[in-house]
Amino acid sequence: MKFFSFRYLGMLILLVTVGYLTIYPLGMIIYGSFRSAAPGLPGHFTLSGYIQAFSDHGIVKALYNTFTLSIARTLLSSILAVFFCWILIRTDTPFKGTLEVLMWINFFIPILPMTMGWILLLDPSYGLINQWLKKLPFITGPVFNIYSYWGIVWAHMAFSTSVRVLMFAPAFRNMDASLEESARMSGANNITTLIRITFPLLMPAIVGSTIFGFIKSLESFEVELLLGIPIKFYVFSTKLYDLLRWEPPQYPPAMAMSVVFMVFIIGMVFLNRWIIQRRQYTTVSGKGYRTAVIKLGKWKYVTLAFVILYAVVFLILPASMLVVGTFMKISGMFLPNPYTLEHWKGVLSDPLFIRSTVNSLIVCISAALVGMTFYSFISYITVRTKLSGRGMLDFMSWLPWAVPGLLLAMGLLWVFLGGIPIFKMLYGTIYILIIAMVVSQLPMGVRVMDGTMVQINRELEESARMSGASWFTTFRKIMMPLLIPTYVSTAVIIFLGAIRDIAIVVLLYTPKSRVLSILMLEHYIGMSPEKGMVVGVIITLICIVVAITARAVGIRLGGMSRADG
Amino acid sequence: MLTLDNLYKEFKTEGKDVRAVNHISLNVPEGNFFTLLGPSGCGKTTTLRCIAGLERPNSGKIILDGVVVSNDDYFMPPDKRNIGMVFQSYAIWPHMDVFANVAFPLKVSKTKYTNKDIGNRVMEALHTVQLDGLEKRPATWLSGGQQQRLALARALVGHPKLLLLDEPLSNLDAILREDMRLELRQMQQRLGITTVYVTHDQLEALALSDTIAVMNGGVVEQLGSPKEIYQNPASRFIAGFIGSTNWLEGKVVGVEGMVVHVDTNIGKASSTMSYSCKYGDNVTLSIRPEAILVETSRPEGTRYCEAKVESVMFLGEYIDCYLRIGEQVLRVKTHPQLQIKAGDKVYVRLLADYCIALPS
Repeated sequence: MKFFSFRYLGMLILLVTVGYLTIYPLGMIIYGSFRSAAPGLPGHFTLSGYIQAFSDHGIVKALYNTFTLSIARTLLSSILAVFFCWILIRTDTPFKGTLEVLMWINFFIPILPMTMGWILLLDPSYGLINQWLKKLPFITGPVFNIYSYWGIVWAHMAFSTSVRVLMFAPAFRNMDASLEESARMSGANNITTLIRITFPLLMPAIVGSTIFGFIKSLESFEVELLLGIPIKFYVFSTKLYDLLRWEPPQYPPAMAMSVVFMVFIIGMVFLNRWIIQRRQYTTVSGKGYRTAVIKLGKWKYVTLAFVILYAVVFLILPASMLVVGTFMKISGMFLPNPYTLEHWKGVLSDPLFIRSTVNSLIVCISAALVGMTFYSFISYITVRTKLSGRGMLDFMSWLPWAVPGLLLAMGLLWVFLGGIPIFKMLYGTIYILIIAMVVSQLPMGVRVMDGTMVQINRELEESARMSGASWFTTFRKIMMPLLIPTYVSTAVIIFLGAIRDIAIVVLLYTPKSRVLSILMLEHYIGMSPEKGMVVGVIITLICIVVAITARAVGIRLGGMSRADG
Repeated sequence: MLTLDNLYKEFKTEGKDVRAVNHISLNVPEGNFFTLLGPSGCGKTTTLRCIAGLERPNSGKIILDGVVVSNDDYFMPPDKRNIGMVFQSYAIWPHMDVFANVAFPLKVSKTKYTNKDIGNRVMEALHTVQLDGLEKRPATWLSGGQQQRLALARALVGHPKLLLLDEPLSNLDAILREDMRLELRQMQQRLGITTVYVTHDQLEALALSDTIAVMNGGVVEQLGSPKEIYQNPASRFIAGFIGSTNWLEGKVVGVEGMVVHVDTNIGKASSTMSYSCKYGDNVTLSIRPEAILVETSRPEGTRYCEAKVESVMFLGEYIDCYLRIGEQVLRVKTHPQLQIKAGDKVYVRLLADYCIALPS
């Protein structure tokens, strides 16, 4: 350019900031994998990290477990989700609306409290269901064991399925009914049409979302922490956490393992893109398509029963058990006079709880506000300007999505510890948590903003410029007002993702900056699981209230938060 | 008032460079209604946007009212140029009411206006476009035609030196378009504001303009008054683009002063409007459908040739028909009283004064 311009300065600042928060952490991890000690400490270049990682059977097994677990989870939840989408969107099953709301709510319920509920039900020694079943004559030992591979899959089922339902729904909604109707006219019955027409047509959308969900499920942490560690069943995230909790922390093998893992993930991302690009099925025709509903006749009661059964088993059962458990002296033990309010009283009067709640609210609300503003700038620049460098900005905005939460937190930790002195001061404060939240939700947040950014006619901005407004005045008076609904929904999504997050905060918190989700974990794994459950219920209530209020007020929350799949 | 000097703008798309505005120079006098006319992709909108400051030219100069607003070293941003612009989509801001939309330029301008001033000027602008009484209405509640007037009011409220219009009538239905065309023209003449208008609709251009610049492929192919362009198109493209026309291939067999005789496949035709043809040149004759005479009985003289009616459409104001002479089919628009039907034999004559000989 021939002259200095604020635009280019602003772009530069943005690129450096985003790069510092996305590329630098990754760089540190790669760098650390080739060093003998943690970055920042004296050491030398070596491959010992890699050698350790692959000679230590634990790590290889952990990676293997991660994949097999995710494959099972993804397959099962996808199949269920396809069924539910079909039932809820394309058939005349009664009470569809209520069921859809249940699915939607399920998405906002944190998974750890629900897992606690499952433990109460399916623990081999104390689980309620096992105890009841033992009363039957032919049952000698525990029937179900939540502390197992399938236990982990089971615990994930509800959440994974509702995530998939939300992801598949648009494809189902947009299907042109005439494609199925012509199958019926050709003589196929409902089932045949379903299998030979409907599903094949939906394949591309389903496959794409499924692979995406698979990739996200690889980073899963909380459930595996609770259910896997007791039986020494590790996955990537829990192994990483474990290695970092050693004295001294085992950075080299941890980093090496992470690098290898990331290579896998990036490979999957490219595979995903390749698959999506291969086939072109247009199921949405241009004008006037209708989504018709298939009449099931008597069968609609069967489908209704199926959905109700699912809701009861996966939603109501663990949730109610959890709530009941918080009112019991020792949850799960139906001693005479089992009920008490002591845990609730204990939690609510605990100054630690007050502190944690305040911290959580500050962190999550700040992350929401900072995030939505930050994401809107990035989205605006990548979508609505022709500034050079926006391709790089867009690329960097995708990066955190491919990095497991725990790993991202670790990378950011080093960025903060090893870099600019100002950041060193922030270590241990809630500001680090806020920054980490904003970075981790960046890919999702920018995409949500993109959705609306592209829709605003650029002539609305141009006419403001022609009317004499500078770029900044135009953004303030024209763009921002038009973006308010999107700002609000992005902020709500960020808040909901942040308040139940554990993977990001578990490495970055200190007693000063403890948040609710960590308090829940500390109580549960520590001295009083009942108190942990109480906090879990409270977090769940916050999420449900926020989600329902937002929905009632008309805020669209269709986007995905940084959640495990 | 507005001068473009060797304006050049290119776009880089995958692989190719597109020369959207290929070294254009033109001059728009004060008070002139100046139209850039051409098919999609000819560069007219890009030129307009360069004038507005919404695109930055690669090279060339733009001078507005004596001030250089754009050249190789300097680029005045659009918000400083005091130009009123009406966009194709009207670009009415949906979150404001009618008053706020029109008041916006005054609110953001460097000059401080009192609220009273703003109120007066907004009402004046709304009155000019006949939208009085609708100030409080949410902008999205207006009809298409009303939104267009609103856009116009907003463009004029700041008393700009130049008014730019980017295909403002294309989103209106046919009847409204005709009404608005008339109103637009009358308003412009009343206000005397220099106007640059972009359209692909040749009828609009002919009806509204003082001057038309016909653009194709990034260059101005012809500049002139509507009558000049219509009657003396400088190229085959222009003749074809401005209104429909018939094409006859032929060879020059005689030149008598202003008159050129051409041997075509329907016989000898003459043209008094030609572009320096010589004996033996291959030329294409362009003759408008309304410049062909049709008789149902053979008239005197040798200037008529026989034709067979292929199809007839009675359109109320005129008859649109296709007449075949051997291999050649002529499209003819003739007066509605003519009683002809498909299959009839008729006699046609090409009027030399309206026959334009263009180089092939």
